[in-house]
Amino acid sequence: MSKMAQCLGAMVLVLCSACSSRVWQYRGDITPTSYQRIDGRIERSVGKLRRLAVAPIRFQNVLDIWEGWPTEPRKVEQQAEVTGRVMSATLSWLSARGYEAAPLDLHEVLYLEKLGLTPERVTEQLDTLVAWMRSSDDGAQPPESTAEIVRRLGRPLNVDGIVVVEGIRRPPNITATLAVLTASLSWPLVFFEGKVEMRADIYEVATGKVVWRGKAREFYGASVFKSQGLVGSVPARLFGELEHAVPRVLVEE
Amino acid sequence: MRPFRMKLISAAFTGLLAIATLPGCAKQLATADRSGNRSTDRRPRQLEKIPPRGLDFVIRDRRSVGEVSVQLAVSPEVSKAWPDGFFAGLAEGGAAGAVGVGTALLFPMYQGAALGVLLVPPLAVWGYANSRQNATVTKALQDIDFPNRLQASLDSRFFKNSRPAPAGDLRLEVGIIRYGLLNNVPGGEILCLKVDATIVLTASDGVIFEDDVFWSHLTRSEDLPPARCASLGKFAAKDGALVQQVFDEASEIVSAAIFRRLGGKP
Repeated sequence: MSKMAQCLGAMVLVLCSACSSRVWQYRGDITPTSYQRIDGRIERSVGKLRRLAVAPIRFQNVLDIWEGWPTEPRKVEQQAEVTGRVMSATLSWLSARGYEAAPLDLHEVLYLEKLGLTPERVTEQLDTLVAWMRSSDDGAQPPESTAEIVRRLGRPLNVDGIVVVEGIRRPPNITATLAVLTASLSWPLVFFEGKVEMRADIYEVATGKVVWRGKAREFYGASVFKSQGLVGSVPARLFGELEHAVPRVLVEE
Repeated sequence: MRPFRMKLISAAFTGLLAIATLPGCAKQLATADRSGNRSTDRRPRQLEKIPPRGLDFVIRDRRSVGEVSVQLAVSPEVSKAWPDGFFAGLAEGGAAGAVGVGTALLFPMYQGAALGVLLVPPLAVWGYANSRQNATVTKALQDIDFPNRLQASLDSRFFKNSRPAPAGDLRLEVGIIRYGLLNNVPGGEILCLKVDATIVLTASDGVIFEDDVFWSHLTRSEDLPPARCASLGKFAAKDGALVQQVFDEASEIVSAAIFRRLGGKP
């Protein structure tokens, strides 16, 4: 095999392995809380959770040598830009599937009064949820204390489910990458070594169970992260096979 | 000079191949929100009160002859003559081969021609598979009988399966203007549900309620959910099972919307 064919093969393998997604779905009964019953013949499972609150997006942006060493305000700005775009893309995607999705607003006074918590305390509870999400396997259910957080945060909003999206941007391991690439003379591959890993869980408010988990991994080049395309495609990767919500016209509230 | 040109052409072909072998990533990025319903909602009218008894239904199929084939994204003519798809694919494959041969003539490089010729069989197979899927979806759409399904669903909703003799003082006429699956963008791979209908309620003294039902990925009545969209392949799978499911649900949803617009409570 020629060097060129080897190089092409390696590139295809790297691209295919880097651009992947996986979903898990709960197969048991799903219980909505915002309505009494479905008025009509329509089969749904996760789609029964038609009203969703999307928790603030968590995104960890690990420093990237390709963008120099950004200052603290610039880092905060980048973070806000990314989380804002992911939130907007997620809401728009869920809405196109018929879900009534709205951001969980930590500064909504009425909500905080109903909860009896400060924004900082709500953030702490969401941190607990995200920590469990990161550490748990697909198919695992949260412990009672974590399920209680879901129920507690969701009930005052009259939503059927809470969506939690979190991600991390990992730059290439520069030392190892440079060594390998210099040895193999395949420098362009450095652009595909960095990854953006995202995951999303949907929790049922009635019980606190996790009913949907999506994971996606994307490669990125030196500047592709700044493009709308990559961030915009994240919800399609995380919720790709999620069924349509029960239409409002078929529910009895 | 010649080796350089050969490398250049090889690089171009291998680049094209690389693009072709990464449909998942490329499609995901390019069509991330293609099925997103950028709808212009239309607010439905709402009748204050209607006595549910003594109502007679007329479901009129107001489509003109041949309109089904216009509304279906896949035309019956293509589906009947399935070998056309094969020959269309063969033509595309031939064109690819010709490009390869032409390139080889311009640049004396036989790999280009060989690569072009190699593209003929897969493209022909793709054309054949596509025409089979079109045929399956077309047949499923023709077998649906949406007006009857809607009638049954309205019957069940208004009369709970025990339809009384019509009193004749009220008459609900639902005119189905069109239904089918349309490409979300011209020539696109994604098909979306489309249903347009009119509702006319008449009493002995004339029309007392009149409204429309619009439902597509671009425009929809406000009380309807976003239109279901999927690829041709998904609609064609399992003998068009998804087509059946989508129109079963559509009849339930449209009948519920009509029922509620006429003041019905679930």
